[in-house]
Amino acid sequence: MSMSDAIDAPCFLDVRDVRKHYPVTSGVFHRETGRCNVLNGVSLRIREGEIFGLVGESGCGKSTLAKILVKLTPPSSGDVIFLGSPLSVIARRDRRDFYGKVQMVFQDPYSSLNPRLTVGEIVGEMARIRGASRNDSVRETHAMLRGVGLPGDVMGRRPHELSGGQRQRVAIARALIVKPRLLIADEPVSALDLSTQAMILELLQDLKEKLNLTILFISHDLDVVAAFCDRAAVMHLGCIVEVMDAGRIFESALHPYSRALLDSIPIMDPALRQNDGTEGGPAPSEARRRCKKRLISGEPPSPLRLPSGCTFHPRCPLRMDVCAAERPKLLARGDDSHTVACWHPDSGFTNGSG
Amino acid sequence: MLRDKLPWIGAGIIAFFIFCAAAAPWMAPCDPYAINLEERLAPPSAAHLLGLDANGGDVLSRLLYGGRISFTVAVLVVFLSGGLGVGVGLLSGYYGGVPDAILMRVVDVLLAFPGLLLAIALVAVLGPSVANVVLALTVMGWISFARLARGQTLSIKQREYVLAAKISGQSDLRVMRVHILPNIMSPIIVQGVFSVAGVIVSEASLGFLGLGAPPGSPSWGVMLSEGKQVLLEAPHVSFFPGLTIMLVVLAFNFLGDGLRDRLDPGARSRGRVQGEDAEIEAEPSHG
Repeated sequence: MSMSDAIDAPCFLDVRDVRKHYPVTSGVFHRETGRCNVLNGVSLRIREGEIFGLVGESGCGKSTLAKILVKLTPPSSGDVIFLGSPLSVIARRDRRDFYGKVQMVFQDPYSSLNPRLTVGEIVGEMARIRGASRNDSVRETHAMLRGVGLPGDVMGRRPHELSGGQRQRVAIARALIVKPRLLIADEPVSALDLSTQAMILELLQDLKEKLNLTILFISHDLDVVAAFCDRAAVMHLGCIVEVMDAGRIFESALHPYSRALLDSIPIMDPALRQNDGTEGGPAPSEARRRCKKRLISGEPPSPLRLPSGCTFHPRCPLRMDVCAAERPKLLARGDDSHTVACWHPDSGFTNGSG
Repeated sequence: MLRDKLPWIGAGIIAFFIFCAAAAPWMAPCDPYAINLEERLAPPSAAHLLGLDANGGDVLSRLLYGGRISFTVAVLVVFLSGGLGVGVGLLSGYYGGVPDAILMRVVDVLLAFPGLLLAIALVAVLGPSVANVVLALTVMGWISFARLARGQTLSIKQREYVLAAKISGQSDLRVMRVHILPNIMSPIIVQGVFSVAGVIVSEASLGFLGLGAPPGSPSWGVMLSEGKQVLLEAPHVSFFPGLTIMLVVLAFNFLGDGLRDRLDPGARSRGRVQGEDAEIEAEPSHG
């Protein structure tokens, strides 16, 4: 832990060295023959009222972390402190209370709504199980649906009658009707088309102000994170490798993996793409167009056999001897708001003393 | 397209037989228990449309009353075993862990037994009666429902709407009742329809072996068995009960196929097995 972490006052959401592995078993007796290491020591501190972005490629453990935060699965070790109390000690009978403070919006609006229930039932259920009378729950549901920009007549419809954007609005209404303080949004727009994405993001921003929400926004879209979030963390193979102000992600990202993620965004401007000057004829090949970029090659390492040291070193263009030997710590670079876990001097200064 | 019409034909045949069974007291021309030894084994005639059996009982009347036994047993067994099996499968699939593993091994052991053989053993121990037939067939029947419900639960419980329900703060039982059960019902209903066919055959088989309804009672299986002794002199005594069993079983299979195509399109390979066994078992007895 860095100095700045140690002296902080109790914070809103404190993820402390959370690890998660799944046993890999084989044979009739389910002998454990291996381990799938999904989260390898994630520490994060999220402040009240911010939108915190979590970025990383598929399979890096973003969704597993989200599931741990809503207690859908327990961490293998480490704990999460939410509003001063550890999640691990929440009793079963206090679950309802906990889920009144933490809610989640899922990635796929096509599978996150029960196809057998009407929209009114899906959203109203949340109020009903918290003891609201039938009339109250209908009124609250109606107000909430209007709040997420849906017409009143969707109450009686079923999910298959709605568009993707409308469904995601219903999912947001379901999460927010309990007035949570923390909303975990697991890629809430990645299943939607672009114009709908913008509207849903606008809605989330709007509701965040109105309801005084804190949002953990999980995404693999750096543009969206840069525009929508206050701070962002980059995750690679179950480790946080960099935390910085989201607005400066394009200029100030230092970790080679963050840079690689930024470089992998396709350039939409043909003029920029062809700046290596191709003589007429057929369009330049894909490889040619991308030759200026530093794309990472190869597959992400398998979580079944974690690389030694820095988990990114097998694919890192800047790797040095120390990278394979020891895991770098998240340390502040420049100012306190920017921390990077990397040994390479190009990413700020030499990490630690080892 | 014949294939599209088959389920409707099946439903029509089922409706016809159920109506006949329900209306048996009004429709039957004779008392099913009447004994008329003078005219015994009389072939079909205007007075007795399907002829008389070895005791001079009217075959048509006995078939109509027999439907009451068959359908009652079938409905009871399917609801009891379906309810038990779905409950067990749902809980087992939802909670998983050691109880689930133990339960599924028990199911595997039971499945390794030939179903009818175990039912025969059970009824032989408990004593032949219609109630014990229901009990024995339920003991055999819940297994397939439990397996099906468990498998469906395992796949549905990973859906995001179930996860969303889990983090809504509602009880596990409510999550299962409101969010899982309605979404696994389609294949279970299909399985239920196929099971009706299977149970009718099993009930008839037990009756045929003298382990179901008592001798002399108007049960399709018992009638087949009694007709067997006079097969050469009076084939009509066993032919009509055999034909009835075959038609009813076929009708439930047609209906089950149609329902499966409509409700559960992903599962053409499942559920059929029991129905096909049923048809094979039904054939040799009426030949």
